[in-house]
Amino acid sequence: MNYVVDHADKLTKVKLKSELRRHKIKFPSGDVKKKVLVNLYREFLNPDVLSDQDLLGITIETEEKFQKELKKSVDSNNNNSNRLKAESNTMPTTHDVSQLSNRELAEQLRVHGIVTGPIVVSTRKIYEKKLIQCLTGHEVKSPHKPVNDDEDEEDVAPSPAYLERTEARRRAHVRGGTPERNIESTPLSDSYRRSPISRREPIRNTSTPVKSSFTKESNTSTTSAKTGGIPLWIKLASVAVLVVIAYLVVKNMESQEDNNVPRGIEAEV
Amino acid sequence: MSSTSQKHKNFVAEPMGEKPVTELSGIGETYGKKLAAEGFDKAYTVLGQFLLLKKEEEMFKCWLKDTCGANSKQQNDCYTCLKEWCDSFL
Repeated sequence: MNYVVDHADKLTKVKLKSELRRHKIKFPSGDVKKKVLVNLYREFLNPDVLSDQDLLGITIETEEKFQKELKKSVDSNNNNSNRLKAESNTMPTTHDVSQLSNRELAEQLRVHGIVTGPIVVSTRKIYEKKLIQCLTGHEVKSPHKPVNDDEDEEDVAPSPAYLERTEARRRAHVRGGTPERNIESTPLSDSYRRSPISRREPIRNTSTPVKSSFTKESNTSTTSAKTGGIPLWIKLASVAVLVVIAYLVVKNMESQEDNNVPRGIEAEV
Repeated sequence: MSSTSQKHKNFVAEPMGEKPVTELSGIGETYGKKLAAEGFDKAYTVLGQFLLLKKEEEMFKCWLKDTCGANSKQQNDCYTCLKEWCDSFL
């Protein structure tokens, strides 16, 4: 019941004057200080004097006034929490969402059950769009029209890295052993010159992979053709490269005149 | 896998290093230019954006669509490519 009296100061001078006039309460004419009017209002317009209609009208008006003033203070002071209160009754627009700070945007998204990553310059737009989508239920259209890009993915040749990976995988799969031994067979050709012990090892290792690779490559080339994997010419090219490398290694080793040591190698394998 | 293109296989076979954005599966010259105009000229910048969006499919595809106008197939190719790369190297 004290609501009206307590919120008398929320009313405008004009309103206060009109109320006082309506209830035939005298107040100073001319430029009157609001405080004076408020005091008069409080003094004379108590709940006993005012009818229910009056009370209702005044409470609605004060509430509206309160809302307006709240929005005004929000715009001028940029008070974020008040803005959210004031806007809770209205549908958020694109403009409103863009006014939110990064933290608030994240908070709003979290309320809707969306876990967000960091909201930075590059991600903000997407999260704003997401929030609008959640709130309005409509999808926001993107500025670009989808274009069929000239992808020409069919013409892309396999990269050396990809070839290396697939070769290693295939060898490991077929041999059932460690792929490192085969790959290391060629670099070992340099190292064995320095250390006399390791000379015995690579000789056997290089000879067998060459033979095995021939058979395995021929087997796998047919299988890949069936499954539609690497083109045949690529496979043949890789085989040729491997053969050349193996030949060079063997040739280097033969030039050392130190290849008649089968004992150590047989024990090794 | 026959469902992924050779471009995809090439990209996920090794660390991306300084590869341009056009090396990404689903990104050709047209989209590459648009992305580069927005500052995403290298594949690693797009990776950065992918990671910022917490590797979420929907968000990344939405971003890609907004940034360069990629269609749904290209969006999917690019997302799958990056996801697989991350699974191997990240």
